[in-house]
Amino acid sequence: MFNPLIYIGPGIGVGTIALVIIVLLLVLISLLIVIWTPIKKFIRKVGKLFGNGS
Amino acid sequence: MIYYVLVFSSALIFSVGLLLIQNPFFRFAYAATGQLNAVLDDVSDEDTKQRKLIQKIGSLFKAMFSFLALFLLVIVAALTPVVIYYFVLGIEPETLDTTSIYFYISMIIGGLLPFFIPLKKQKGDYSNWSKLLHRMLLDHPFISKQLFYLERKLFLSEEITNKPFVLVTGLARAGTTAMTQLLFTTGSFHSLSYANMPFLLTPNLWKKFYRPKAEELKERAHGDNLQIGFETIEALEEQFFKVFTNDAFVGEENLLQHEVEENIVDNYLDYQNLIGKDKNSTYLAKNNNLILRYGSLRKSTVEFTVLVVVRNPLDHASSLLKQHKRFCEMHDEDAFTLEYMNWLGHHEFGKNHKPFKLGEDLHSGYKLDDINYWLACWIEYYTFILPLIDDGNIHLIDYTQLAEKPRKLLESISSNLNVQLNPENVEAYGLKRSNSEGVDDDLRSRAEKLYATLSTSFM
Repeated sequence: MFNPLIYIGPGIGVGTIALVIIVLLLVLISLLIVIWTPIKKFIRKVGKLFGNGS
Repeated sequence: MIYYVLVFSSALIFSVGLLLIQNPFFRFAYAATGQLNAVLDDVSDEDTKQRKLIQKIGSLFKAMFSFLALFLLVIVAALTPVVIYYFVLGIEPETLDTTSIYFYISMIIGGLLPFFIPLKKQKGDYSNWSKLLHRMLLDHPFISKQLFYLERKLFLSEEITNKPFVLVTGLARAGTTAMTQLLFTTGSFHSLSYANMPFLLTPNLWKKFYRPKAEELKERAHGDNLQIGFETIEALEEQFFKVFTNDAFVGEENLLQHEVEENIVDNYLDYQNLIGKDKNSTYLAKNNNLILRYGSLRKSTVEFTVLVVVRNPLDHASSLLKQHKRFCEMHDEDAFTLEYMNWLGHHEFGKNHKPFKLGEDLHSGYKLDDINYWLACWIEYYTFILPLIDDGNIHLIDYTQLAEKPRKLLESISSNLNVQLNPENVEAYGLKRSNSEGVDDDLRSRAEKLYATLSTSFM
């Protein structure tokens, strides 16, 4: 058996704890953006309506 | 004493529980980035985007609630021993020891023990967590694209002027890696390396967190004499084109020629500047898919030189066949290696092989385990290259010289391209001859004739 290296790379030289932190951060940021995006759109829509109405 | 055994058990159950719910967490984490990718989609029309968002949000909720339910179950299971102790013996909670050294020792040993007993041997160089991180980023092009814009905003000043760059290309197994690495050793170039994985489009942001130590080199998967490590440069820029063209060139069965729009070329130049930030060197990349977009890149105002490595067709075809068989085995053994090659646009051989669609189709008449298939691919590729060398910016490199007299080759490149290259520690890695039995006479004669023509233009 041979070890896949080039095309597959030598792996990632980060410890498991650092990887867990990076993954958790990515999940957190993803969820925040996913929640924030529709709220931002809604605020913009309301802002436009308000702007048009006045 | 019993109390500390129970504390130990609780911590042990909690840690084992966490390990057992790793996969549900992975599904949740992946679904969260999948949803973000759908939100950031700037290519689909509004209806398609809405449909994707609804579809993805379902997967996200399912994955999130499954994980949270299991996490709750783990907490309940972990608390059970101490709760039983409390109810059976009727001890007041205030009297339970939560501060002594024995309490902490019991908890730490119980909590850490499962992490030191590997239940499953890790396959390859990637842990499950590192595979997850790669999937979260490289499966989601719109996240990578937005990260690139963020990186550019943070690290690129407006006054940067683009410098001419050098690209190394050829049919896979032509010696393009060796050529790129040879140029890189001169110290005149900057390029992407494995240290940039998996945050390929944010080289400077990622560098803030991750600077791998230069470590021992390992021989690469091909079984040739090339050594690689984290600082090894490779064909990694292709992810940029995959992200920005939305995989437009990856067909069902072939890799297709395509036009690269002007704004993508501008982003590409910014990307090169980001990779070489604070370096006064020339951008260098190996990219075997360059030929698919060479026309439109050349049409732009960008100045660049292309080095095409040419290898004896029979040796080359034999090497491609050997690697194809080897990579098929590897892809069967470890599916992650297949995913990895797909992310980087590597379709040269293996289970995800897709030949170039460049013009005349000679390969379709042969099976992939036949050397003639690979020889036909060689003829198609270099027939396509031949008229392009007239533009003066494509230079043909002789693989034999690269393998046997690399120092002399560097001198030729230096004088031809009028660039200062200081070869240090350049070693010849020698030529390997391959077995080329069973070659179709017509294909052989056509390939040899073409090779002879190409040889007259070697640098």
